[in-house]
Amino acid sequence: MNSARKGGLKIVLVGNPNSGKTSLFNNLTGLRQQVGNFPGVTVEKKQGKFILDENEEVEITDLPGLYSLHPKSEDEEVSVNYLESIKNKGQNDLIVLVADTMSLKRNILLATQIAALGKPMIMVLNMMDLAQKNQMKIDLEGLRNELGFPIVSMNARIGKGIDQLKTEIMHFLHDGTQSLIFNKGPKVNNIDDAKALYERFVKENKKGIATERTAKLDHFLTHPVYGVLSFLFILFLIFQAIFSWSTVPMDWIENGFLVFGNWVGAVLPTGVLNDLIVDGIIAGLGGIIIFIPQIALLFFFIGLMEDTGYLSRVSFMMDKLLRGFGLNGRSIIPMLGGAACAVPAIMSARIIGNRKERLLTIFVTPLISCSARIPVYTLLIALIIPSEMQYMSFNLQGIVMMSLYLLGFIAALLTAFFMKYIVKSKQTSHFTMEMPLYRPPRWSNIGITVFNKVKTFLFEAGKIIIAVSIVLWVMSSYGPGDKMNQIEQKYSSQEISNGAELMANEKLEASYAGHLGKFIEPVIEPLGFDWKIGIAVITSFAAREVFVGTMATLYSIGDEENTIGILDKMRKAEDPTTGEKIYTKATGFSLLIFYAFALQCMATVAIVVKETGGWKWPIIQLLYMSSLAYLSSLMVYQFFH
Amino acid sequence: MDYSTLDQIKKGEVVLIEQIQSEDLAIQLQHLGCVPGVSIRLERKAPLGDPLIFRLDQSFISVRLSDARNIQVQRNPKVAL
Repeated sequence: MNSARKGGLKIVLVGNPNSGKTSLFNNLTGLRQQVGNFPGVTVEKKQGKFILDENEEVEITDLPGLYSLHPKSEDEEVSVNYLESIKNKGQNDLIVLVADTMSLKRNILLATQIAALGKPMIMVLNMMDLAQKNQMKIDLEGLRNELGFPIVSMNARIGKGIDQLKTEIMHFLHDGTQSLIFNKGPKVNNIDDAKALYERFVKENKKGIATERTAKLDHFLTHPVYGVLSFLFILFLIFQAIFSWSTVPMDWIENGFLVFGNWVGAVLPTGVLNDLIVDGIIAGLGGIIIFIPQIALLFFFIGLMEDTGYLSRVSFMMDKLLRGFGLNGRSIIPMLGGAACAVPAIMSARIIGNRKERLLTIFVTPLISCSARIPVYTLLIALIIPSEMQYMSFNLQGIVMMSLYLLGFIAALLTAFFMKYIVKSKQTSHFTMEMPLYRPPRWSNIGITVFNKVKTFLFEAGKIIIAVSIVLWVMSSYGPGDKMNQIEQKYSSQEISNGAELMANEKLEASYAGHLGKFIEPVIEPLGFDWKIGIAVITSFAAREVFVGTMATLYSIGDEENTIGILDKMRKAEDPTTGEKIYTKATGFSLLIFYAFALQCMATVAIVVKETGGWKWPIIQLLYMSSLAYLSSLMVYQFFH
Repeated sequence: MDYSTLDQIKKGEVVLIEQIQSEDLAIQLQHLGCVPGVSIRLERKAPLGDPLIFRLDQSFISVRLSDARNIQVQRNPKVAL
């Protein structure tokens, strides 16, 4: 072993976007990945570890895709800066350049540029399956001798070639760095030199099967009629999966939580702590965990579209349309991602090179209905629209849900359209982009992405929910002065039917939370919201999905048996003085519109601060979306009322 | 020699890249392997007529009409794709 080495080996993965870096990264590390707050985004570097051999643990970093050492967008900049930072330090770094064999010519140029940094490097020729389909024959030995660094052929999708890469890494560990440094002086100065090398060492069939297959698929999938229809069909399929197929596991989870809550309630001694855990935390968490099937499915479909190469075609088809609204074809990637979660979606806007288009995309992405709205929408729609209602044989609940998504998309486009005249930019806009060859999905890759995203969603949302549940529970169980005790005494001294429930309501009204809700009631009354909804609007300011948890908590207090779901409790809710139902159609629609437009998400505000480099845009965004939500709700309520 | 710009060519036509007017555009295209001397073919147009997909070697790239206008090409080159 090289004695100059101190500490473990550090591998850096670089390469073009879509070259299969992440696939190799996943293959090496499995689930041993350190992922950031919102993982799976290809615009941030990812780190992980794997065991090489002899218990040698290796650190591995996956950098965002890059085409050259001259970055043209923010995600490329991340990679180039990282490479620059390791250039002059550390002897433990090994660069692994992953190249798509199908575009080997330009990758030879990139490889020599990166090798010229003076770091040891191994080149991996990935996608050998596609290359073989195209009857490509590469003289690896010849190319290796000419270029001076090891070259490994690989099919990372099925794990072929991984062992050979590990062997090369072992060589590096044992023989030291010298053997891998590109020390023969650059022979490749431009694409023509690369082309000459390519023609010397590569034989190919110009009409390769993989390329022809992509051309044929594109003929259909980007066709003016069939292409558009297939895209709409795919969107429909995703909707169908999310809102129909996922109901089965969701029912299991809901019932499971009811049983679990009752069990905990029975096991723990009755008292304050019992109420907090059962009514606060378990009810709140259950309100979120139930939506995991839907969120996972959404991430799965977006991952599938990205992995097969289809997402690039969607950008291609949408470019002209989106350009009219001041956006770019690439904006569709953050916008579709926004349907899952705005935070990684806003980060993925880095792939847009033009600053103005990127800013506009970031500004409008939170208007797309994200998965945190699913719980809120589902609850409210179920509350105001009977499930058996049909319109032309379509389920009316489904139609309302679809309309809300459409509404968000239209609001995003119109907002971008107005912003386009406000934000100024002299930068030119392009849509110069590679359309990757179609390939079968790498299921394990998609699986890992879905797993990581769901995990983070759960933990990030879970933290907020537990904190908010505790605060909310304390605030709704205690109140100023002696009022709470007086109410208890009043009810204990007389027998009234329904006494427990009436007492709970009066106590809630007298509590701190009740005072807070009453305090903002005048402002939200024109929207049809009462003080209880007011509490939920405040608690869900940090995260929308808390609305459901708050409702669960507010309506669980006083329900000793915990037998019926939150939906039935809300349905029964009445104004104590007039006896009118609280959740009328007008109030329900008003709430739906409010949650469609309001920026009730601290994580989004934080990421916009980070991505735009200041507080100016997030503040404008917060004010704009809040006003839009308030005014739209006002109109909707006054219209239906 | 028959010269034109890239936005003028027909679907299926193979042309040779001669010169790229904007430097910004030239760099972006160079990253994708599209430089003067390379032959490319117009594969298809987006449903709304713009952008375009071109094929060079074994890869496909998309370019907007407005950018294609800034790319000078030689028509009827003697080389095939």
